[in-house]
Amino acid sequence: MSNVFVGRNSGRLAVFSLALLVLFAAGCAANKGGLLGTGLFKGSGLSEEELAASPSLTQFEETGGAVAGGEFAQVVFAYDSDVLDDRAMEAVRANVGLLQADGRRRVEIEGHCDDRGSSEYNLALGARRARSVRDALAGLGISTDRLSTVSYGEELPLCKELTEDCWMQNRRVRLVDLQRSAD
Amino acid sequence: MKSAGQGRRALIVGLFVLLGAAPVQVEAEVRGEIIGPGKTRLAVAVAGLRHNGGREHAGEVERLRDTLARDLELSGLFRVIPADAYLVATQDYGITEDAIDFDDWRAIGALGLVRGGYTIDSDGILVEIRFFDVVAGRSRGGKKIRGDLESVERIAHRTADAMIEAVTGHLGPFESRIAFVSDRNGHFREIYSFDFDGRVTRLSRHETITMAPAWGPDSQALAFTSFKDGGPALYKLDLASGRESKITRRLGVNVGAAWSPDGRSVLLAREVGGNTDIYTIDLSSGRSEQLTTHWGIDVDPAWSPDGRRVAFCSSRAGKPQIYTMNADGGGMRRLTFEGNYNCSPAWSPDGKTIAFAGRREGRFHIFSMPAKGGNVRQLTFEGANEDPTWSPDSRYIAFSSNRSGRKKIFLMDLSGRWKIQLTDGVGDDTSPSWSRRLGGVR
Repeated sequence: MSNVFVGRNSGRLAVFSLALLVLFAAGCAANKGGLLGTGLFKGSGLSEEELAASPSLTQFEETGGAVAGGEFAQVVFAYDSDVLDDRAMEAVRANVGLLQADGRRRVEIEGHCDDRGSSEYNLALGARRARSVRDALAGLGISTDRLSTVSYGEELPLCKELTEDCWMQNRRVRLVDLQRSAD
Repeated sequence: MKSAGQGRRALIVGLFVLLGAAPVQVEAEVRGEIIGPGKTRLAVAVAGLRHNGGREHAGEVERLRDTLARDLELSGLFRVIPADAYLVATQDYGITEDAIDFDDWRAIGALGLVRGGYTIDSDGILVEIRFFDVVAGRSRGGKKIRGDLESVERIAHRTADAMIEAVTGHLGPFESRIAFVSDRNGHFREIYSFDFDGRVTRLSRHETITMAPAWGPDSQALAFTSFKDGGPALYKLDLASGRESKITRRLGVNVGAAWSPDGRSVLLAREVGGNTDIYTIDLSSGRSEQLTTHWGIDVDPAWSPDGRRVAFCSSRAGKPQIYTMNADGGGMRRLTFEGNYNCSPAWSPDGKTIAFAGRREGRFHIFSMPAKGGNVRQLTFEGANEDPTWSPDSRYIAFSSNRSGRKKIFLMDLSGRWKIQLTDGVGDDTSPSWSRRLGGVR
């Protein structure tokens, strides 16, 4: 196992190496405890299971389909935008309510795009959309320990029609429950 | 004699081109008004191959002939007269000037004739193909190629490329492959490889999200992006061994991969804390280096063929536009100013041109411009078109388009006048990557 990263200092290098180890461990077997206890991933809200597979990715790999809906409100974006408009903020606030109602609840924030434009750009745009929602949730008092982000770009569409309605459905940020924290 | 009525001048210059005079002059003619992709195509007959010795292998030889004819059609330079119009049978005459009665070919309107023979021995197949100017009744060159019976398609592609060279002065592009992503076999997008004889080979079976295949400069390895280990990471697939190795081990988005011309490193887009920048990774040491440090999205890196510059797509000015920079990240230059979404730059192998996908009036189209910028030319006008990739000879662009329904891979010439669909069937075919010329076969 080679380390492909060049850290600017040894501390960062150590973090990368540990991340690598976690990846490796997660790849070998599900939750064996170990590095989780170090609190290394507190800021990113990542745990071994989540590193191994995000819920929607697992679901996609099992069923071949993208998942819609869920309890959380869908946050919808304009084309090529990661800006939260009034309607998007309304959805964010509704989600804040749900997260405040149960303090043990932890979520993964998924960024999605419609399929128009570069698929690599869309993967980056999905990451920005997820980040926008994460920052808005944090701004409204949700601890970032409870939030992780992932981008699926244009890869998990809910529909494939060439209509504005379908494109809008795909330009979404979706929150999905992760395993609750222990206490 | 339909084509004879198309005008004496067209006929004469067309022939002049077929004669293979000085390449520079020929190029001027090809790019002018007389022949060229999308213009008057040169009517040619592609005769069956005469069996000259050894065992007969009619099946393989027919495949060879059909593949050659198909390539010539795909080039947009030739119109292949259907074989059922030919007046003489393959075995009836030889493959030299004296042995051909050119009146038999003039009568069906052929300006050119492709005629050849094959011999089978213990070492495989030896194919000799000659090109004839039917009007002058003269041989204009030929090619002897030895190969395995299993690779007759490769022989056909090599022959077609040589014939295109005889006509245009530039070796043709068909001894190559196009990798692409498709969900043709179900829910998952996997990597496939298209050969110009029409064969499509499946290269991955990951059953997850797979993106952005990119050929290495030796056309023996592919880089791609996959979520197979939980998140988007870069991998390398060695085609000979089938072995896959992981290029990136960092969390977050890692996507893209453009191989450096020397094959030693790849460019990629990497996301840290929501922001995506361009990096290089040295493939042997694993060392990565960050080239851009802007808050905007920087993606879709493409190397110039001399390895000195990098084209990429960036939203640093608000909306995604094409930029170039030095390979160390300096010397930044914006190249596109029209429209509010220009991405997916592809640098032509001859270094002269950058193709890209741009959004105009709500639809994506393929454009080209000089690598220094300026003079943007729109090449597609129908459907939604994305993901341009260059042929090894820099004379064609493959791209994905939904103009016929689902997304499929199309081919066009540099003028955009000649377009033809390459893949079909069910599902969406996207993200084509055209290899360099294949080597290695005898």
